[in-house]
Amino acid sequence: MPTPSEVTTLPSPPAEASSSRASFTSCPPEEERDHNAPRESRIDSPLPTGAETEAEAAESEHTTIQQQQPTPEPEARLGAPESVVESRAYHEKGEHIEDAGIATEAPSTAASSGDAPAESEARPAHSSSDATSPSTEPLYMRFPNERTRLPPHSTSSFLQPGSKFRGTQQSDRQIYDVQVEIKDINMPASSLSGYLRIQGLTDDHPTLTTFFEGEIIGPKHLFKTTHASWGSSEKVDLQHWARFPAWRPLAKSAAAAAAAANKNPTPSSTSSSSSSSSSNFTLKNYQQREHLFMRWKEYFLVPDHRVKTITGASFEGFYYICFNQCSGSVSGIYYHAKSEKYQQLELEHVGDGGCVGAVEFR
Amino acid sequence: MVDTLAAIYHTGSMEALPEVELEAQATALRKLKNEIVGHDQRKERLVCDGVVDMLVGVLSSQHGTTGSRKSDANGPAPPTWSWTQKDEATFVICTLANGGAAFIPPLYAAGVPQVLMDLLAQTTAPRLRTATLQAFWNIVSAWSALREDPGDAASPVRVDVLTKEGIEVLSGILGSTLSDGDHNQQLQLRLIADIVTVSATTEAMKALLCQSPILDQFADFLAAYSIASEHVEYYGDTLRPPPSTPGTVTSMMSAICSIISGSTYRTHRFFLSPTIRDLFTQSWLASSDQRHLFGARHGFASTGEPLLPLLHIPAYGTTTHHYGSRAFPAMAALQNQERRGRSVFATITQGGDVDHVNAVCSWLLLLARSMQGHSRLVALNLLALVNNAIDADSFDVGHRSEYMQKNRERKKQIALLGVPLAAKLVQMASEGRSSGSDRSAQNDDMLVKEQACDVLALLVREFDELQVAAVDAGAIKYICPLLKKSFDPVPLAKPMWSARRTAGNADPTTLSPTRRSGSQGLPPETLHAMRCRQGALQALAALAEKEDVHRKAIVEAGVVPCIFDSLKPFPPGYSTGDRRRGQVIGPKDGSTTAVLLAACRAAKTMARSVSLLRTSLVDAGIAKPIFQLLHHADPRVQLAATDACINLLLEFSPMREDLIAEGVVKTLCSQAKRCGPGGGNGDLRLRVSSLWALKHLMSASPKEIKIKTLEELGTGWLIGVIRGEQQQVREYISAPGGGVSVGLSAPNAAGERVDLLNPQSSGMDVDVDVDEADPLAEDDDEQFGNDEACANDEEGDGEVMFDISSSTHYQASQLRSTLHSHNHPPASPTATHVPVFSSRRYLSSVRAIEQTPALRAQQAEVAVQEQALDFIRNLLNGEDCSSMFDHLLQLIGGARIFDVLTEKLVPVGIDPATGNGSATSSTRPIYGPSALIVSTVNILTHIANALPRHKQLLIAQKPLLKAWLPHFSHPDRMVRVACVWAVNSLTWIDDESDRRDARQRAQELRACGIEGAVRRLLGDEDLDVRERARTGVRQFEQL
Repeated sequence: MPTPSEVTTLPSPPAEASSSRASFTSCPPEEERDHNAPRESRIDSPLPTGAETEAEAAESEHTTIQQQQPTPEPEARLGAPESVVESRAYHEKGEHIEDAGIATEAPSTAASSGDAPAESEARPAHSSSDATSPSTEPLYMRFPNERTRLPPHSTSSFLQPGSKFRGTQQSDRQIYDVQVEIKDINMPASSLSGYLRIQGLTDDHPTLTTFFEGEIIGPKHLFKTTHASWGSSEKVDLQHWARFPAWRPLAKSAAAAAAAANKNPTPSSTSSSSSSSSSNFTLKNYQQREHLFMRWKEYFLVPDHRVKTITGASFEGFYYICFNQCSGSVSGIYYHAKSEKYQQLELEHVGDGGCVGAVEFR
Repeated sequence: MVDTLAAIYHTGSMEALPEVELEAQATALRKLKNEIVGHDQRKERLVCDGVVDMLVGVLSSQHGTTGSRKSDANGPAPPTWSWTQKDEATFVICTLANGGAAFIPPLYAAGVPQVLMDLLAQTTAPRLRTATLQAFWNIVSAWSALREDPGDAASPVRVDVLTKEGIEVLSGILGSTLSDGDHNQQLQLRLIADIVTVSATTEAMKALLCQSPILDQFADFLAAYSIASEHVEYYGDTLRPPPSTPGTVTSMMSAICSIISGSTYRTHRFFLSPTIRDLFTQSWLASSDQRHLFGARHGFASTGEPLLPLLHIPAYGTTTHHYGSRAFPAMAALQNQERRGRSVFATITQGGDVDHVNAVCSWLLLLARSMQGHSRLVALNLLALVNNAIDADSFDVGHRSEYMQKNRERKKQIALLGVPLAAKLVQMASEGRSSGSDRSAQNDDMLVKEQACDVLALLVREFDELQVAAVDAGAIKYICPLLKKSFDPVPLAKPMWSARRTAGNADPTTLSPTRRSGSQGLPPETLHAMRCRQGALQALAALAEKEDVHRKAIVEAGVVPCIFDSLKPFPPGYSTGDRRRGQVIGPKDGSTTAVLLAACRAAKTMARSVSLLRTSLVDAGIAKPIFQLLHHADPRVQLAATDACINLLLEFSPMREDLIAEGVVKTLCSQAKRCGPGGGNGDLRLRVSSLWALKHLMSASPKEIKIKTLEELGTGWLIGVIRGEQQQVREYISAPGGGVSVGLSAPNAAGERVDLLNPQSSGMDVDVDVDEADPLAEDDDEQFGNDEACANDEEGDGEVMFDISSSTHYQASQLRSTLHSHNHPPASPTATHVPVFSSRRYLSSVRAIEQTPALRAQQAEVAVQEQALDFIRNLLNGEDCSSMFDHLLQLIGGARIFDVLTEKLVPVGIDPATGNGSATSSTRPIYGPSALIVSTVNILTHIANALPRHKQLLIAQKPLLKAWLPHFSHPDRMVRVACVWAVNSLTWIDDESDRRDARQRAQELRACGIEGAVRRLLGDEDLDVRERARTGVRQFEQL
């Protein structure tokens, strides 16, 4: 957050956060980006490329078939029963794509042979082999959906409404105690918000709490910072992301993507080739990865948002965040053009034993 | 004037009047009409003098002579004069009703609507028929304005105008127009449609209209219009009415909208109507099904040329941010199961006939594009209703790619072609652009202004993609000025002042009701402002539903104070008497009920943002008016305000303290406990919302508030609610006389129908039972006999749905070709055209889900239980978990608490499909809905995190542990991860003194199989579950 000894007026909420237009152009809905961006420049999966690229190739093939064929699919499939079977298999394969990354990571379900037969019957459908035996999963009563519900989505027990983190922010000169509390998390929108509390920053205010909003890198947000008023650039983005160890495997993919992008006659100089690839660079299947990348930006003070200036503190910059979904640790780097560079934020999750309150917007 | 009246009175006795006198009477009536046209004070005077009774006398006089009319042929000269005279009387009524809402009560009291309907049933004379319809329409439209009035809710005019007989009469007239289509008839059709549009306000009336042939008749006219306009090339031979004028078609579309709004089932009735299905299946000479050409990809290319812009929509991508369906996140894990539909709900889970619905939506888009102004708006309204209904039933479809793809194509098409049209109309309304200076154009502009925002809201509600499209089209920019303008003072057109004190009203109680004019209601100008305000608020509420960016843009536009102002009802003391004294109710004085509802909705969706709760909403002071609305007389307003409160009471909302200080705890508790007679659904909804709000109030609250709230609710009551009316449910199960009722069974996690009553019954014939056993399925469909054609057509085809193969890939024609060879002989010569999709069966499923009382009751019950369990969960959440649990133990007792929790985890039935016929011999238990399991397991997690002695207490509950075990493989990751967390806390060693106990706990868990269950989760598909299981296994090994 803050640079000590700096007197600044707190910014009014940045323009693009309020003007809808700007942020739309900067973060188009996923599917728009999917075909605007060159396919290769998206990272599919850092390691198990085999299955996924193959599956994706199959998928794109499927697309082209659909496009090229003036005759509609139903008719094409009308004929022999075999063709029906074939197309069904085709679809199943297509659907499998999404789970491919998981499947390679997860040991096969066969690893666990059931102790009691009754238990082995009750299993979630992890693999398709499981699902083929119809009478093994537990059944749950179901009612027609209430479409108006907004159930909480979270991908990690450590990142839920109410999750707390504690740690430090370190600059060259000083170390401050920092606490973070997540208030709301909205996975479909790839966003979250919470309070950030810093201690000992100024003498007048032993504790300062700010409200921040975070954007999670994924289908909705790119690695590239697209808010002009945040004062970042692609170069700055890359410099900061590169300081996270978890970025390294991605950097390789980024380089590969850049190489592929170079084959295309893109009007970009060689020096900026890597950054040009990063401009459309995001994560696929990001929710099931060990690390979530985010940007956290503070907006106003808590409790009184109308207080605009605090002597000796500012929160004009923002944090690059790398969150470990398995351990719950947060690393962050504060960035603001006028502040000391690479101030480190290191937070650990405060254990809650998995106790989560029931919170759901109406 | 009084002389004229006297003249009529003089001839008032109807029996055997000489022709001359009748003629004189007719002349007198005409004169009377001419005198009162446009002169409200004269009208009022007339009513006081008893003109209404007299008119009724004239109009109903012919009851006796209908017989003589029948014998016209051999009787004396036809009594044309009496019809002329009735004409004139009808015109007078027309004129009176034109005077506005004040004249409705006396007309009602005299039974004029009924008299007019009777007249309509008797006459075939075009002139009189038109006049009668016109009079009826005038009454109905004034009546509808009165309904919006926030005044006396108990007024007799709240009853419906149309009766079942009345609907039959109207439908009869619609049906008789197959032959000719002159101007008069077009006018009649239009009036009928307008009458239906305005009268279909209550659920009961809508249901009645839906059962009558009238809905299908309107659909017929619409189809005929499309064929005539060459939107569709039609090769079939279904008899259709002659094409109508565009104006009539608009009215009919409005009427359809009115009838179908508010019900998925009714909407399906419309777009699965036989003629509309026929319209798209008969569009080719070729025998194969070509309906996909109507879809977005081919741009409605029925006539060879695409009539809509072609859209390139890439195949379903592999990235999805909704993993699983919205309401049930783990559905992704179940997609394979979902494919095995073999039950009645399979027809629903198949997602319906996607080619047909896409064709209908494209068709409605085409209609909208071919029209202008209000007509276009109505077409878009219809499109919105259809689109919403389609999405409502695709609840279990999961990721079946072809269906998903076509659904996406439809959404995209609406986003690109439909939403911008609606936004454009909002812009027109906002900028006050007029489409012409003549009266009809002005009227058109006014309607657009009132309805454009509403239609936009309806179109984008619940679809984030469409919301984005609307904002991209500038919607917020255009809506906000409309909202602001609705607070401007309006110049009232009518002079309010009268020299004469309203003598007639001096002592109203002495006058008979037919002579007493009623309240004038809100001035039409104010009413117009209210409608605009209501629409704008609805639109803002819809746009603020999902995207924080939209909410912030709305704040930027500076309309949050307007939302605040809209939350104020009209002052309670206001009456129309004031109006005469010069106090006019203007738009600034308050809001009608409809506006209050919309404003609560807007406040609710705007409050879905932590940031706004902490800034603009608290600055605007939104909490206070909402709290006041909790005490509003209208239960709908109470519910809407409670819903908004749910968000305002969240832990991070700075308005929480204010609301607590106002006494929100007491209000919510009493609302939650209040349950109306019969325990209707509405009451339970208020209970759900109140408990929801209280649940939020419990999270991160000081202990005193927790204890106080619990006391206010009462532990006995709370436990009772959580247990649910189990007895009641059992009654439902055994009630419907032996048959299998849909209500007893619910689609389960796998999308299958679960039958709780007849576990032994054959799985295969369950589906067939539904139509017979469902008490709703037949009665009213058959009432008018209009479903028979489609029933004959498609009978038997539905059975294909049982076949396992049918579920893997829904493709109608394909299924047919693979299946009919062995057990389905072609049903009829047209069989090649009839797809496997059975609209009749599908409709009955949609209807069963929407309307089966037992199912609805059970659903409401589950919703209450979920909130009540979560209330306990939040009570235990936080620092004071152990002390709160001690408090509960003290108040409720450990045995009772664990009994209740166990109850929620044990199976509620056995899958009827297992254990018969098929090779599998195992029985699959059926558990309660996922929502309840999630809440229950989370309570267990909290208990496991309390003190060591609480852990010991938990581990000693053998039945509970046994009931818990199966849920370790629950399809929802939230359950699995909560299960593992609880185990991890149980095996955690708090301190050295706890080590021995911890080891013993681990042994217990091992003994009952829970350790094994945790080990199996090491291979879970979800990263989080795997990680937690890894910790769990490590802890087991360390002990």
